[in-house]
Amino acid sequence: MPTLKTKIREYRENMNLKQSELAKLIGVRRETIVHLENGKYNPSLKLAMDIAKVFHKTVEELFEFED
Amino acid sequence: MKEQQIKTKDKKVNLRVWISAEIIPSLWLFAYYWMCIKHYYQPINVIIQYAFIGCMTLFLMIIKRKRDVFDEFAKETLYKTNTICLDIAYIIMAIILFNATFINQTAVIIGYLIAGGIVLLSVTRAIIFCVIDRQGM
Repeated sequence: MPTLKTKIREYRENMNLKQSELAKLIGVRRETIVHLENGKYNPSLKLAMDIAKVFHKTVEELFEFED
Repeated sequence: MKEQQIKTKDKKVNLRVWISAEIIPSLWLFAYYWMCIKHYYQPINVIIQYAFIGCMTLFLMIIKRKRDVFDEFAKETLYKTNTICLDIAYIIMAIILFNATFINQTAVIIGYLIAGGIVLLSVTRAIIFCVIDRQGM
């Protein structure tokens, strides 16, 4: 089963954002960001698009499937 | 100092604390059953019960109002937790049913078993939610 790989941590660190700050921008809890970064939670399309909007990227740039 | 005060005022209640606080109504149900069985509705007990219900409702309302953002991860976690708890409830009810059928317990004991089952279920629900919330899905 392919796993979802994310570049959230990379983009977040580039923007000098803390997990809690990113969580506040998107309107979720810090725990959600932690699990997203660790690949332990697959976000909904809406959440993925909200995150992509914060980083000014597309969803494809932020997430990719890995076999 | 003022900034610190504002920070403390805006501090949200963690969802794990909120879900753990939901054990209290089940404990009250157990205590209520025990009071009904032991004291047969003495006036003083009724006053204590109403006072406790009032405090409990107020406490739960405050916690619910001040709880952290209930985001989609929390919703999914709660959904998964409730699904597991439904299975556990099924098993608990089956155990109580077999206990009542074959061991021939009295109605009082069966009542205690049901009240205890509710407490067990709410504690398990809180534990499962905390574990999934901490470790991810």
